[in-house]
Amino acid sequence: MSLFPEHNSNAMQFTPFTFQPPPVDYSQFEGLSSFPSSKQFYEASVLTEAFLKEDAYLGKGKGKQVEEFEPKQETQKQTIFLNPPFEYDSNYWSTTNQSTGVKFHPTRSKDFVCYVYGKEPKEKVNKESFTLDTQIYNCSLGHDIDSRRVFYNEAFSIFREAAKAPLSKEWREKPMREKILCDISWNYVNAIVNHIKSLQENPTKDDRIKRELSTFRDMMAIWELCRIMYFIKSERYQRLSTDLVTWLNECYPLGALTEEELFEIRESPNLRNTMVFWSRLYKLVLRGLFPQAINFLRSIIIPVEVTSDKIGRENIVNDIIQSVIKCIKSRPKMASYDTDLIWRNWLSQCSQLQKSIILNDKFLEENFVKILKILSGDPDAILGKSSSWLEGLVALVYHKYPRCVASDIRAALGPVFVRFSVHPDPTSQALKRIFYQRIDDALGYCKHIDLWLLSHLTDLLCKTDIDETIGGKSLLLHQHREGYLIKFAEPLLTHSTLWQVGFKYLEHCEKFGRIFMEEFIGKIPFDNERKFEKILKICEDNGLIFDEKCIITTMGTKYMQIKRYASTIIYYMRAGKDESLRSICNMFLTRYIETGKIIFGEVLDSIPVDKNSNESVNFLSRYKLYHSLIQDEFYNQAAQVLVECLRSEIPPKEFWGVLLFHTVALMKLGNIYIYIYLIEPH
Amino acid sequence: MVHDAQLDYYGLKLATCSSDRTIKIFDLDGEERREVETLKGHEGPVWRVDWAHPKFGVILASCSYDGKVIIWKDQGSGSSSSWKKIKEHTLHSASVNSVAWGPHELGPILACASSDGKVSVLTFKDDGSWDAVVLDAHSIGANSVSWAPATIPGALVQVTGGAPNVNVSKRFASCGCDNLVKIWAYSEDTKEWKEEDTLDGHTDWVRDVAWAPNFGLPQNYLASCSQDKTVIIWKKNNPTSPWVKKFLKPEKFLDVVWSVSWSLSGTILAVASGDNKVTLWQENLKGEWEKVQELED
Repeated sequence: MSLFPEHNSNAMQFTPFTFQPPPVDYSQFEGLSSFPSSKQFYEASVLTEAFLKEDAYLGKGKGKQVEEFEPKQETQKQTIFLNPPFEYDSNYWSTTNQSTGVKFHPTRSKDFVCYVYGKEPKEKVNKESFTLDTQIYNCSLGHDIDSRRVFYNEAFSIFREAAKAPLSKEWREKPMREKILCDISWNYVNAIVNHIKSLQENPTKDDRIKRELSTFRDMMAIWELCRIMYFIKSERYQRLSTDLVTWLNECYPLGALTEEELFEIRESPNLRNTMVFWSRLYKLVLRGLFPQAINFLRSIIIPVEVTSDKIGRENIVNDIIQSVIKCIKSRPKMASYDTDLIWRNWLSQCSQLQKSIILNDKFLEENFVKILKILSGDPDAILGKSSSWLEGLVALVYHKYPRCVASDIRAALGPVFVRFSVHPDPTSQALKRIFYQRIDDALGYCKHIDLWLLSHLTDLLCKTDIDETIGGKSLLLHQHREGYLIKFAEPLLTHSTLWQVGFKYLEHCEKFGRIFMEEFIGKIPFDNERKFEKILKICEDNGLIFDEKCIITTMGTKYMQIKRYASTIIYYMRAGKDESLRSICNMFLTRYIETGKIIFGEVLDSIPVDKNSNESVNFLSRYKLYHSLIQDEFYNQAAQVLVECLRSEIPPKEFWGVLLFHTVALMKLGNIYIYIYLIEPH
Repeated sequence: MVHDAQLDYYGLKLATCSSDRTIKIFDLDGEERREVETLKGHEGPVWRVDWAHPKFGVILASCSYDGKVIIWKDQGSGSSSSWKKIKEHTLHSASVNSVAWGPHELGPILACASSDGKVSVLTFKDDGSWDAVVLDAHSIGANSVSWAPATIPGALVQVTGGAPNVNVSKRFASCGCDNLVKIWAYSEDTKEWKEEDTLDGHTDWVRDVAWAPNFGLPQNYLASCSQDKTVIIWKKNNPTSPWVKKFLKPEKFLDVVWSVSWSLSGTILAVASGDNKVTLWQENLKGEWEKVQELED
């Protein structure tokens, strides 16, 4: 039943790996600036920053309140509730006569009708009275397409741009490929962000909106991670670790402090001794949020008076804080990774500072040392202070392997998964597999997140050189691409406004698109000529000749129903419905016999008829011409047309007498000659 | 009480039929339903209704406890409807339990199943007359009929490029009180309908049968449900292989299963059973059927 090839279930297994520090190449420090630089993308970041500076501290954060390690709902079977509920009476219901019936919608793949119906006829049930049941429900399995209409439209224009990039190997070898792919990817992310914004602006914060927001945030996280991991393969790209940290902070920002944590901070006489303070500081350092971390550190510098007894001790602590701040500030930036030496020197300074910290207050000493250990890439310190596998992994990459490439990340995953487990929700599982570079498996999980994500991400990934770069394993991406796109497009095909977009998607599915077009094009309802012509255009563009004729016939039948015969004839002629045309023409001739009136005169006036037209229509046209000629007293010409009509043998036999009657009437005029050779066949 | 509810080809009209011997036609506009016509003509409860393809006009077939099948046509113009009876099929001697129009590629063709044990096939001919063939199908009674998709199985993978009206498949399935499902095929050579296969799997009356839409894939799927509280999925991997049965789930449903319906793309099966439950099923990659959704009040 599936369009897709059998999935190898073994592919879901992880291959064993050993942890080895990735080789760090410091030879090229000029990275390809790849992370979106648009303000729009960073607006969320600005929010996060503001939150970290003030609001988080005060507990008024506006950032995402859900940490990535918060347990998510597992994919579960949903229940559709009938609304309004049907009246269920157990005595009457199952023991007597009623049951539920179900029929899928004839044109919408996810909709169906559910109804309460009687199993036996009234006569058999022998009930004195019975009520007419009106409990008929329209149900839908799909999400509400209308609420995504703007997003789908925007995304489709990007898809169309992406489609200009062919799937050929030649194209994939072009140097501009990376930039084009990143631009397309960024446009997709932009569309996702725009939709997230529109959802956030929606005044109704019901469960549906919340679910949609969550889905789109997951989509953004997965899409961006794929871009970072797969779309950029340039050797010059050395911003992976920085991009990952940015990605983490954008997609999974730090949550606000809880009420209890805020209380602890407010009640604490000295922040230096507050667990919450240090916990927060660790997070900031782990996530590379250094300006905020420095602000935090500055906030625990205690100004001391010269006369104070504690002057010596406080000065020592203040000096240490300043040194740590200095160390953070001097951390080499990506652009300045000119040589291996700079990085080594800085690590050496960190190490020396760690060793130099000796305090009576062991709590303080331990925290300062740990901060420095995190900065110098100590895996135990990093993972020990991380709250989730994602935070731990990104922090480990950022602090320990700042210049690693995508394929090196796999090596960092070992110690992370020794400490952390990954929640079974599809998003977490997909992210894990993206890091492992098991893209087929990752997409398998995306299937449970959203079809738009699955289909569009697969499509774009097919345009990368991913199949050549991941372990030489044969990926199923290209085989699945069309199936995913069709699955996504299917509900659009019968949507009242997005149906054309749906068919456009099918046009980009060379192998299977056509058969789906054939199946769906006839199901598009049309109530006006404009829509009808649009449907025909799709048929024409895609060579759907049979369906085109079928749709034209339906249009003709519609006009027949409202007795607009000219339009009916035109459409039936286009559809080649010779038998139906013969019936219509015979009907006109019968009416002529019955009434003596040519009611088809006006009908034929608006129909372009030539010798190639349908023979019945042609006959009717010639017969009408005969009458016109008689009216204008062109008897000889009329006789000639009449002879043609006689010889054609097209009209029903009961009409032949009429033609002969006309012949006799003409001959009676005396000077009109109808020669025998005109009547007899040559 | 309602016995059947059927949306038209575009899903814009709804026809319901009832024990009060009438058929009601509704116009649908989003969630709104507006009754536009009540058709009277049957002399007993009306069991099933089915819409013909719009290229044949606005045509509805109905069948009843009175043993008749009536073909109705809306001959109204513009927005006003004017329903007329255009054919009354009276060859059955007992209640007619099911009617189903064939795929439009086959022309206007209607299959009917009756409690007299027979299945009839009505074909509308070009000259306006109707041709009726009556087949002995199920002893005790025939309950339901369902047409095979017109697309030849495997047309998709063969990529013939031919129009769907070339070598179309002319088949239907029937089920009945002999606990069997039968496959009927039309032979273009002999111009006759012949019993092609008999599917034996149920232990009680088979209430409904539904042939899955097939987008030209080689496999054919058929679902049947029964008084024995089971649903069987019959699968034929290619035109020459035998039908293989698989129970939708190992254990029985809690009550009689009354109807089965496939989604448009043939990937989801809806099952309605007497315990007031409607469940939706989908085949996974391992070939097992999983419940994907359930409907509750």
